[in-house]
Amino acid sequence: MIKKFKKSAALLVAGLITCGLIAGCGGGGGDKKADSGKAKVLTFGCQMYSDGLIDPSLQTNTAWNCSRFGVGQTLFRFDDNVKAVPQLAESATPSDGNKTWTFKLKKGIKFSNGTEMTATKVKEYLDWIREEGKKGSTNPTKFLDAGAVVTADDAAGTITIKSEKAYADMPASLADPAMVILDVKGSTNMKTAPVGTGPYMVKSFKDQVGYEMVANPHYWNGKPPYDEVKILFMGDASAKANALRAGQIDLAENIMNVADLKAMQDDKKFKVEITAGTRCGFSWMNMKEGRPLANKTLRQAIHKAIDYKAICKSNTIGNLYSPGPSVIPSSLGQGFDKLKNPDEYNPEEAKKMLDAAGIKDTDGDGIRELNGQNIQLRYISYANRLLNDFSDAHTQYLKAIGIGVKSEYGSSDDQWTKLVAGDYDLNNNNWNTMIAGSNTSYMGNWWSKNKDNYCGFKSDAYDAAYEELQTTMDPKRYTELMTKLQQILIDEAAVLVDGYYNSCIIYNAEKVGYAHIYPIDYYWITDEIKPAGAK
Amino acid sequence: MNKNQLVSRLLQMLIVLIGISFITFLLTYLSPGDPARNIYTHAGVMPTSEMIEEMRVKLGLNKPFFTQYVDWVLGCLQGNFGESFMLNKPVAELLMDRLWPTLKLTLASTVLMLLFSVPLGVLSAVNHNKPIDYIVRAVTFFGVSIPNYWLGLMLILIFCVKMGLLPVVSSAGDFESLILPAVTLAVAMTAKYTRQVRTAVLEELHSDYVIGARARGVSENQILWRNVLPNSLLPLITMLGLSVGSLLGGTSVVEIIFSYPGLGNLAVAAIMSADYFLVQGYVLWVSVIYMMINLIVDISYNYVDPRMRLRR
Amino acid sequence: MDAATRKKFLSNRGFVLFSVLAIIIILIAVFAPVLSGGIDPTAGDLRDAIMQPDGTHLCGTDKMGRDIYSRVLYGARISLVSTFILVALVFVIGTALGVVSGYFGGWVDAVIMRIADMMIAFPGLVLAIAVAGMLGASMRNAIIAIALVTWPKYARMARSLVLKIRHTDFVYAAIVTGSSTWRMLWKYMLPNTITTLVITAATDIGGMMMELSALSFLGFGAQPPTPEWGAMLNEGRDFMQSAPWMMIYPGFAIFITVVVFNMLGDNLRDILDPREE
Repeated sequence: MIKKFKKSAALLVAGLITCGLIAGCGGGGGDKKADSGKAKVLTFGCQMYSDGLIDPSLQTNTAWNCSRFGVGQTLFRFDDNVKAVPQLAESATPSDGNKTWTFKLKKGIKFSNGTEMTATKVKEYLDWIREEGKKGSTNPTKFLDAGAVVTADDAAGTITIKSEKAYADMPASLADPAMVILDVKGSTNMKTAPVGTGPYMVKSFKDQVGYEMVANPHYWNGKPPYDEVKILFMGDASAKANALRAGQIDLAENIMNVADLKAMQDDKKFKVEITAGTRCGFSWMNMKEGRPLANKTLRQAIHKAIDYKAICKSNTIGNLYSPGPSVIPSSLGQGFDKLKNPDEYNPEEAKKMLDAAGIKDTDGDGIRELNGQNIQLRYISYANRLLNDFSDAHTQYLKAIGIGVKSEYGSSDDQWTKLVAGDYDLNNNNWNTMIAGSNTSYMGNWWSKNKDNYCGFKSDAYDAAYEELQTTMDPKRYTELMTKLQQILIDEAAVLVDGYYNSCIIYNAEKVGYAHIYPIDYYWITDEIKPAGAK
Repeated sequence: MNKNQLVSRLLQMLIVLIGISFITFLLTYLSPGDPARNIYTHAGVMPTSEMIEEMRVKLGLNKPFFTQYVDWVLGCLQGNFGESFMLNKPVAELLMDRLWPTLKLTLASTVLMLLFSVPLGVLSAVNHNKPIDYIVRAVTFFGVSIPNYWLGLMLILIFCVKMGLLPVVSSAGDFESLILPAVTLAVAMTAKYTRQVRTAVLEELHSDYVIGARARGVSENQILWRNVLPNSLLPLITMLGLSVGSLLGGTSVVEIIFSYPGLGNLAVAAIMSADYFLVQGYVLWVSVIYMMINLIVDISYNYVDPRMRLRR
Repeated sequence: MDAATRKKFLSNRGFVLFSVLAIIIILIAVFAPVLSGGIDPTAGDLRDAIMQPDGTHLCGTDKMGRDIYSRVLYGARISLVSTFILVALVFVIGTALGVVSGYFGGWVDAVIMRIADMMIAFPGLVLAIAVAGMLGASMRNAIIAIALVTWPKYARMARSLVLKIRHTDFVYAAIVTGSSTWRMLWKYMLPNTITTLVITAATDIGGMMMELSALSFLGFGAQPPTPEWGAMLNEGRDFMQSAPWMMIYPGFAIFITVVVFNMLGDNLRDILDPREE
């Protein structure tokens, strides 16, 4: 009897397992959709910034998304040398001591809804973004001041911008993603489907998932190479590399994992393009009174204790950052070669310096004391572009010379809030050093009269040089001043530099024929990306 | 369950609900950080103290604790759970969007679990202390002991990266992207459930009426299908209800590993950026759903088992 | 322990085997500094980052150049200590409240049980994640969070066991003969519940260990550079393909430890509570 039952039970189990397998395989089988069919589809995996919204008036990241996803384009754009070159505009002519600029628009440009991009449309946008941007954090008036008056001449196809302020390079200012030209009146859903002039336009958006884009039928620069572009947000750091390998995506930006990147470089199936970027990773040192890092000897010792070259060469950071002691990337040609670093890696000397300055460990707990208190630096950092890895590495090096560090890793909001509130000792972040085509705004971080000087740094020599930098229109003098400013920061041991971030783009060479990454990372999806086999 | 019992049960639920809402509210009320300030800093704006004060008034955060709580509960009753500053959307809408994917995941893994655990449990019980029993027990032991996040990662490595069969990122939420998350969740559950089925069946097999039936010469097959299975599966319904409910709250880890667009994933992101209203709404929602499921299970239990009707 | 009980324990081969294994794991935790050869699990050298397992680093290194072998060994300390604290906490709080609730009945019972109902109404890790996240990420908060949602299980169990004997004649007799309340709880009620609860606690160890490391995996528990297995797994998952050793060893460590403690608990139940089988 039992035997009989066992048989039926076994049959039942077998049957169920088979069902399960069939169900499972059914799912797997449908995987490979016709990729050789008529529609050319590009699947792009990227990090999700600011929930993937693309309204340029909201936040810096949403403006960047709008440009990066190939929806919005600017009058001028940055090329491989971070020079502003014409895009939607043909030319720009300054007059009245660089206070008035006239932009000639290219002819025949249409928005993706078919509306012509007239001078009036451009004016509408420039006025709208400066008004609407007040609510958000994009800060569009940084690129075009609120007082500047835009006049449109539709017949001539020009816009004229009159400002009280002289602009050394207004085309570069208007090349910022906040200045992507959109059809303000024609965009019913600015958040996720604004109407722009880019090669692709939004078909649908799924929260936390991504976008489905289609080719802009009215694109001005020829037919976009793809019929459809799928943008998939990938939260997980390893997901991009895995998805590329698995064939789920064809193209990915910035894989943050050196081991994966190296493996893909060695693999013929993939192409990796790395470019020296304009970004610098650095930790602010809080030098405000009463803070431990107000002590210059301590700051110098910290610099001497950290082998920044070894960190950038390690398997963890690899080629994703290039090492350097200055806050301006070596590739930008702002006098990097002339800089001298007195605090190269030398932990023994760091210890001696601290001992000599009386910063010693007297209670035998392995941590030195400053003014009778154990040094416990609060290190704020967040998960972006390997920053936490740098912070961990710094912590390790500092521990070795008896400086305690308490890590506080949180969200980018957390990092930013603490930075602005001065609630930190070390605060790690990654900045784009080129804003509106120059380093001026960025170097203001250490100008003592700037409200954005979050670290309490004050040097008269720096202030004087910086004030001259703001007004000079002579490129040679500019570089001289830049060199001087950088050297002052190095001599004062005022900034703990992680390194200079290199951007990369990785693609499946069997699917994608060409893709390119620019030093300034405003551009991901462009009309240059072509399927394999296309001309 | 007669009418009176149902009413008293519902009353009890109401008390618990009030308690849940209170705990939920207290939780975010006590946590460090200021929602008014976060709203600004999340948008990248550094607020002045006046701006913060203004926002506090707007959100009603300046009111006394109890008033705030009552306001919030009243809002929730009208379907207004506040707005998520992380995603700039009403909390109710966000939760609605994510509920279905998580339910789908829960159901899929439950179905998988039932498909495997019931036959395996019965098989194991019928072959008590025979090799097949030992094998099933050993396998279930491993199943319970594998951390699901590790299992999930291994499955990704094998099926997605190495074999390229399934998508690495399940954010699409379609059928293909459901498979691995569901399997990952189902493994531990199946293991647990198999053992429960086995125990329940064993108990019935050793009960007096089965022994009696055997003595009367009723066939073993008939005993099993007619008596043992129906009876032993009864208590399992309760457990099923409980595990479906706890799955609803236990999907976070798996959803994150697979970037699955469900409630758990949303909740962890909300906690990470201290999105208070979203966290509150999430905790409240999931517990209410869980309670509903339990209630339904209880009622159905009463229907299925006549003994329970008498006992109550 | 009398001879008969001892025999019962020792004659269960499974119990003996897994006790030995559990003791080995505990010894590994205790002697981690010796077994690791004195390698500091939190110290690393970036120049050695992400190295494959070899002679110097038996299980390879992680992205800060820390020795994974040493970290896995020290991880046993963190996992075991925190799990034992958690189980003890839940056991004590749950049992105490359950016994009190069952013995006194009335409003005390109603209040305690309604609170328990509320806690149980939060499914799975939902409340734990919320609590840990809102309190701030640390191992201590993770323990508090899980304890908060687990005690009702013990309280309910203890209560029902107490209720079984609460209204028996011998209890009434004891009260009449003047036994103090304290004595009643301690001498009669508690012993009645203890076996079942110990079994439950023993079988729960593995599960709680997994929950704790799940919280760490999500980033709500132990913080780097603490060598916690869940946190290590989280760190390693970025390198799943290129440096699998970062994920495999901590994963195995959790798996093996959980299997051993689950098996031990199961065997203990077989011995103490033969009804189950």
